[in-house]
Amino acid sequence: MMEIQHISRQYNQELEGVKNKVLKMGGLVESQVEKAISALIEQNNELAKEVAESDDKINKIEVEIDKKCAQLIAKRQPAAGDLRLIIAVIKVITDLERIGDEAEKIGRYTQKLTSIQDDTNMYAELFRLGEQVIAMLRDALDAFARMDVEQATKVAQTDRQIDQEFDRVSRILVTYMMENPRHIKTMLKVIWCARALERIGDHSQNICEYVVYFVNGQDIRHTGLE
Amino acid sequence: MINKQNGEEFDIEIDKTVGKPFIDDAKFSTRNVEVFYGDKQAIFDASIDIGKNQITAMIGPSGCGKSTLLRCLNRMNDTIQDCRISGAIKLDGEDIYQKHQDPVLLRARVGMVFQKPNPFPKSIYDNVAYGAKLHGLASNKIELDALVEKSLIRAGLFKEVKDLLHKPGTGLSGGQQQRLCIARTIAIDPEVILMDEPTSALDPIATAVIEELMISLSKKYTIVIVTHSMQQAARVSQRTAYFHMGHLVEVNKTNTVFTNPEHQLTENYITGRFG
Ligand SMILES: Nc1ncnc2c1ncn2[C@@H]1O[C@H](COP(=O)(O)OP(=O)(O)O)[C@@H](O)[C@H]1O
Ligand SMILES: [Mg+2]
Repeated sequence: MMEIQHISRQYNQELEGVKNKVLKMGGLVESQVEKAISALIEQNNELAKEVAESDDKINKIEVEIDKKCAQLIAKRQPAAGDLRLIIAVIKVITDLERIGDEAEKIGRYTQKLTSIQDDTNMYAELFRLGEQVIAMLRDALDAFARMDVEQATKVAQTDRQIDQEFDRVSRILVTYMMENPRHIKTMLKVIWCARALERIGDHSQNICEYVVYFVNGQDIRHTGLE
Repeated sequence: MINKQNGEEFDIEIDKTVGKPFIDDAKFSTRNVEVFYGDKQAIFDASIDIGKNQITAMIGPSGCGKSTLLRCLNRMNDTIQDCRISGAIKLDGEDIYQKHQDPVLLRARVGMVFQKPNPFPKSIYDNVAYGAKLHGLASNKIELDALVEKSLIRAGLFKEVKDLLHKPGTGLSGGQQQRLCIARTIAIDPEVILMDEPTSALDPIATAVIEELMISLSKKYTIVIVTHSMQQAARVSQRTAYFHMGHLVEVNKTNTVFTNPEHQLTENYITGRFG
């Protein structure tokens, strides 16, 4: 749909520019999430601090893209596929920004967790959830970059596995709590981190749904994917 | 059919009109209409329903045949030599090209407003009264006065001209002249109003006034508008028809056409792409 160029070259460049900025923002967010997960699982205070402190960059780029989109709408009155692209972009960056917030949250909790002595093996239990979440986010961004409906549809469905994994992890953490009530405060922080990961899965699913909306003009958010 | 982009030819099919060309509550229906100017075919197999009491917009690149099809709806093409029309055009289910149909009566039912405001070189009053007198719609001066006032009110012009009724219509601003032409059309009590690029000679404010007027008129009249402004089609119409080189490519609800058109050619045109 997009390979046919506008009569206005300036317009082409503006749309391309916005799309590239979203991809750049996606890259930043992905790296934040990766670092947050590593920091959590490896209990790396240094890395956790870095994650907690670099959310700013993501927020700035979101504001920048929002502004560009508003300018495009005002100047070009985009229609059809162009309009759906802009709407999809505005929505995608909202989810990306939230993902950034979740990563930041994990960073902050991890900083607190690293100061607490722990003899369980619970951080290792988060390994699989972390892997699944980062893979889903990466694939969702990839589907967006290529506007690939088939991939987006497939990726959106992996959210179910993440929900299941989150349930499994929660059960384990609750068991730890029951075994030793002194751990409750710590375990709650870990559960919040797992919950943040699960939310990243939800946001990634949203991104996939916007890809389908952009390409097919069909809103599948509340009707589900078939 | 063959298209050109950047000098390269590529194939895009226009087999039959996509979208929803047909609806239940049609005022006009055209079926398989073809129009020729001499040997040159200007319209190919156009079948579309025009909804009652709504605004239908016809859009497309210049020369694609919008005005030609519009003029078929009140037989304005009859006046063009060498113009031949085939197919069927029905108004309220009756074929307007049947032998017994009187084009003059038809044009009273189906009025037309043109691109350039064209008031007669007469007073504002006479501009509006002229057609009504011709069609015997008023039997005395009092009735005629009332009709002129009502028409000017409906056209949203009365307040501005009520003290100038006997001044020449040509002394008004462009936007006012166009509303005067609309008042003149309304005075004959038509059922349908055809508008061929009615605001292309007007500034944005005068355009907005006419657009508001079209929307309020559509409660009483069926309106078909040809416009080269896609934004205008998007703003005022309920249904949009897209033409390309004489073919009726796509017809659908305006909301659908502007957010999710079916045909690649429609998409290209409304997003401002080559094609
Ligand atoms: N009176 C006419 N005589 C000969 N050809 C005409 C006449 N009017 C229009 N055409 C041709 O028919 C085609 C469609 O014209 P028109 O309906 O005016 O297009 P549009 O309104 O979409 O710009 C054009 O190629 C135009 O040159
Ligand atoms: Mg024309």
